[in-house]
Amino acid sequence: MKPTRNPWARTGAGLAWHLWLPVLLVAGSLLLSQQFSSHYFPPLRTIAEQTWVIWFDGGGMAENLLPSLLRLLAGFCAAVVAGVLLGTLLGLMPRTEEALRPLTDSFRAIPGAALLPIALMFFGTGEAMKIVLIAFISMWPIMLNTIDGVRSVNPTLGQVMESFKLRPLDRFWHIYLPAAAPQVFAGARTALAIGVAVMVVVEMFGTPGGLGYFIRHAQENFQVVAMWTGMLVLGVFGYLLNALFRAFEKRILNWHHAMVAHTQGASS
Amino acid sequence: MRLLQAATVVGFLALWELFARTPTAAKADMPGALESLGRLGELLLTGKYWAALGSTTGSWAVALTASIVMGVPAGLAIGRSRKVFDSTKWSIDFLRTIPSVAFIPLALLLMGRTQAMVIVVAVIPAVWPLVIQAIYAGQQADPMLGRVARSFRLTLADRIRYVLAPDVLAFIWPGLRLATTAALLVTVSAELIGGSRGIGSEIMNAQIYNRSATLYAWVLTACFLGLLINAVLAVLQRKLLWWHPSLRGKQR
Repeated sequence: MKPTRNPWARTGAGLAWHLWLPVLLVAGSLLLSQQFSSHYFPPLRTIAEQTWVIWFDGGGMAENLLPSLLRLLAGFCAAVVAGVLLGTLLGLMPRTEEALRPLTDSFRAIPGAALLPIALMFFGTGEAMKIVLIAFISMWPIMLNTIDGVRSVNPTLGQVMESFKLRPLDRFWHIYLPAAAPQVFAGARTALAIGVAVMVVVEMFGTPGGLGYFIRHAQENFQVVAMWTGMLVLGVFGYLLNALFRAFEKRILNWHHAMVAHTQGASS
Repeated sequence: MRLLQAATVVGFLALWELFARTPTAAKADMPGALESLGRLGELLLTGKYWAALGSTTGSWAVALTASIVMGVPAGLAIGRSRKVFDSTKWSIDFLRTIPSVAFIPLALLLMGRTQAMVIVVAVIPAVWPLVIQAIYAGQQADPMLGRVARSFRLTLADRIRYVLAPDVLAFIWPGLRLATTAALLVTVSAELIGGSRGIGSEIMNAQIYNRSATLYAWVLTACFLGLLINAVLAVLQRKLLWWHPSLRGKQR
């Protein structure tokens, strides 16, 4: 790209470079799938039409998307609260943390899906099982990152807290939480991806309602087009969730990025 | 500390044993720690156990290798060129956020309950972190290193061994760690949902036939497999990346 004076032309060129492949991919699959006669790969147009019929016209949003979203939010929020609290405690008690490490390492190492039958036996197939499992499995990355974040607090700040005799709650709220925030967010981003995966898996086994249930049910009844619409909705769901989380993170961590830029600018 | 950690493990097992005797646990048919470990011991002597464990480990390893072979060169190529990076950015951003478990039903329709199905589904979440990190590696590649290599007339093999490999390795390592965990999670999930042979389907079968001690023995197996993989990664990291500034003098 030649550097142009006109900023509009430059953004336009940048936009064109960003856009051509996605447009080509969508157009290509639109055309190709039209020619394709495979039962398993229905034409994209049919999928798009059915997505409208099933999810927007037919109330699929309220029936399957909303429950998924709500239980993911419930599980994820529980994971954040539990992960941050436990992480802060363990971060401040290095000896306890080290003693407990065989357990935390083991729980983190279990591939989450393996816990599904145990959760089924304890909580049944209902909502409690789904939320508990989402929360339990996605809690670990948040907790481990919080431990690291709390440890990274500048030792001088510790002395400052001593001299001001800050109450523990104030220390947590004003010192440890902001200091650990960048790492907490990094852990939470991983946790969100894990949470969505766990959500889909538990819904495939649990009571009706939810994206995972819908896709699994459609597949078992060979409703291939319906299954594809479910996958499409789930894909957009995952994308939007991630985008929202990143926007939120950027907003909250604004001060942090400004500080990094400032200190790096000052040192160079 | 070692002693304290051993005490923690024993304490946990004792708590488990006690909890298993409460009415809550009895209602959920939870076996005690001793019973589960005993069952695991019995399973260890059967060929079926090792076949299932080998199947899961094999699927995981093939999926991870395939992800590295596809993801790293692709990512490096994308990272090298600004235009290619811009062109692929949105497509990659969209594709990588699709939860990989969404593909399990489709893969089941296409491939049935086979190991190939498990592998294909496990590649999907493993390849993206590697692509992303390799893109960073491609973007950050120091042109000076290439020039130095040329001045010294390094052979291609030496250039790969001494210039390219260490640099790329340091960049893709975090991606590799994410990829290993994601691939294992999805391997077990696909076996659980699809019923292809492996830890996942053994767990599901144990649940269906109400053999709770067997179920817990398999969950312990999954946990040990995860621990083993993490331990191997930690050793590899010490052996391969000890020189990297972010890891020097770090214990964990």
